[in-house]
Amino acid sequence: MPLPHAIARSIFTLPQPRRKRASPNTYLLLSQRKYAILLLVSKMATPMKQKTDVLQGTLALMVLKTLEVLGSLHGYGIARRIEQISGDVLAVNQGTLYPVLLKLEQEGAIGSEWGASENNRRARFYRLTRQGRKQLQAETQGWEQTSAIIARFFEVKAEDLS
Amino acid sequence: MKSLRRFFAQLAGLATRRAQDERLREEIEEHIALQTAENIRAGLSPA
Repeated sequence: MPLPHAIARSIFTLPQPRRKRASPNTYLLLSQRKYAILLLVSKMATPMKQKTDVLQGTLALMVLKTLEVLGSLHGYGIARRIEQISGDVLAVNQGTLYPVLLKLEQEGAIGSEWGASENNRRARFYRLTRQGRKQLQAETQGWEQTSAIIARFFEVKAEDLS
Repeated sequence: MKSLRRFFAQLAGLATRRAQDERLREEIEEHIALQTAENIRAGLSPA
C-alpha cells in the first residue's frame, strides 16, 4: 500500500519543535516505524464516525469504574470497553491511556501483571486495588456533586432567583 | 558521599525509566496487534 506508507513517512520526517524534547508519544511514532504505519492504517480503516477525545481528568475515573465493573482487563480491553460504554462517542487512544494506567499504578489505585491476551501474546492485565476502590468512591461522589451543581445552573431561571 | 548517593539514585532512576519505556513499548505493540486483528475480523484486508 504505497499511499499509507508515504503518508506515514511524511509524519516521520515532520520537523520537531526547536529545542524541545519530543513527547513520549511522538518518540514512539518516530522510532517505531512499523508500528506507526500499522497505527495509521488502522486509523484510516475505522468507520468515519466522529468521535470525541476523552475530557481531560475523566479518563482515570473511567478506567477505575471499568475495572470495578468488569474485573481484570488489558489496556486494549479497557480502551474498547470505555468506548463501548460511552456509546462509541468517546475515542481512547493508547497515547493517553497508558500514561494514565502507569500513573494509577504508581498511586496504588490499580495493580497489574503479565498474562496472555486473546492473541496468545504477552499483555499487561490491570485490576482495581482496595485503595483504588476507595479512590473510585471518593471521585464518584465528587463527580456526582459537580454534575448536580452544573445541572442546577442549566435549569435556573431569573424568577427562581428573585 | 553525597555525590555518590546522588549517582546511585540517578542510576536507579535511569533503570526504572528504561524498564517503564520497555513495558510501554511492549504494551502499545500488543494494543496495535489486537486493534489490527479486530480490524481484520471486521473485514479489512491486512496491509
